[in-house]
Amino acid sequence: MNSSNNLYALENPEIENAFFFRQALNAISTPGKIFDLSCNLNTPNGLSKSAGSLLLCLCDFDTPIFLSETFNTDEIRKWITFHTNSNFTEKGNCKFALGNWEELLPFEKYQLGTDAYPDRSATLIINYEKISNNGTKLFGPGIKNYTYFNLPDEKKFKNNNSLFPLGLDFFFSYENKFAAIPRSTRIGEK
Amino acid sequence: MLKSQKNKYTKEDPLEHDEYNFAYLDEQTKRMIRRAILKAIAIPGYQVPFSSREMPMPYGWGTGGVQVTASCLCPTDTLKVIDQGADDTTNAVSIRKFFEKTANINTTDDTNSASIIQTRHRIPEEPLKEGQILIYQVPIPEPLRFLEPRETETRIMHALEEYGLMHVKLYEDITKHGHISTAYAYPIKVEERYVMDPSPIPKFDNPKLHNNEALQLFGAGREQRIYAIPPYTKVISLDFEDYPFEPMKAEAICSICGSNSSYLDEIIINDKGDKSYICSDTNYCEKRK
Repeated sequence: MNSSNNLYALENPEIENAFFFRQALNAISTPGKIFDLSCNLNTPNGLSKSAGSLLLCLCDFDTPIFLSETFNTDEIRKWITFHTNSNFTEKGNCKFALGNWEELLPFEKYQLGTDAYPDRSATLIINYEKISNNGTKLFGPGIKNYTYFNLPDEKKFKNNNSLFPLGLDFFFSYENKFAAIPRSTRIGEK
Repeated sequence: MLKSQKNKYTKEDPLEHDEYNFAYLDEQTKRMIRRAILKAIAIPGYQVPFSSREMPMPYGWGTGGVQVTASCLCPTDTLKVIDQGADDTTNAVSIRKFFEKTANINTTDDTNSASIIQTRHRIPEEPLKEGQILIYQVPIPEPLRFLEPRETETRIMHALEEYGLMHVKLYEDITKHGHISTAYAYPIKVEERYVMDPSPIPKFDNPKLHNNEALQLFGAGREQRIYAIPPYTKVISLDFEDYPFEPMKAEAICSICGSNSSYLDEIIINDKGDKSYICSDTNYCEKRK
């Protein structure tokens, strides 16, 4: 991570954001698979490159962001405002939430979508050191046979999946690494 | 000098151009579409509303597919565009040229070497692989629209998983014709939840939707909807126990390559109305010749 005085996060935003989004697209269509983001991206202290890349390619004035306590620093807020023009809000109103696992709980506080519009739900970007392909068995769309992912709390994700088509979608990010678990992913033994 | 003649946008330096933003759309539009695509993948088969833009081509020419393609494209992509299986028809050629000009990407006819394939009304014969993206142009995304014209009602029907009407429609097919006569845009159910319109592909292609290795995205420009089938997703074509779903094709072989397994187009070859059949997938046919 760079503590950066550089004004610009990206050299050619339209190109780099296209690559960032493609990674996010690949991640959400292959749940649990871990991706490595290799690019130059200047993010402020405390914000991982992978989380920064997601915010840059997805957020703007239409997407209020919730920052958990650890991430609610001047430096991060200024960086997000400057690059995305997003507003900051509470858990209940946000489209994207960024934070450490414990700080983002409970899931019930976020928008889960409605029966008619299940897409109107929040996406959580969890700063998570232990991204790895062991632990809980995962099934479902995007996964050939099955895969494993080291979820922080199996039960909570199982419960989120049981709400389908409502529910939250998740990105796990740490430094250059990230992975996604959308609401459609089934958790645990078949 | 005209601006169009002063094209600094060369393959060597894809970033040095001043005519269009990369892939035509502005960045804010792309972000809005990108968010819709991610939600569409998270809820397979559900139609996500998006604020479709006016494109420099008429509705019905693939404006939805073009917007989805523009939002997914990277400079390293190789794009293939087909219209009813053919690479060389007007719609396919003009969309391919559109992206050559606005995104300066490589294009191909070869199904196997394309990373993104935009399609109108066909799935290529050659099996798709992991990492490829198939983007469909969709005219009417709502499978229930011809049965229930009100959006407010169809939305409730999807919310309640109330799909009895669709089965009634298929049943009426049987009572009128003795079999399910729906031959294209045949309704499917994705992951046992949403009934979805696979766009007007022939029902011959329906089995390829199931468990496909590629990501399938659907864009409807005029109707402002995006939906998706992630890779390795369960897709069934609706049917009845006693009238099971049957893919259908002309009982003939291709008169160019001799294929007896590919989907065929019928062509009239003389004034007497004699017919001949050729592969609808031109790239597949070309490779077999």
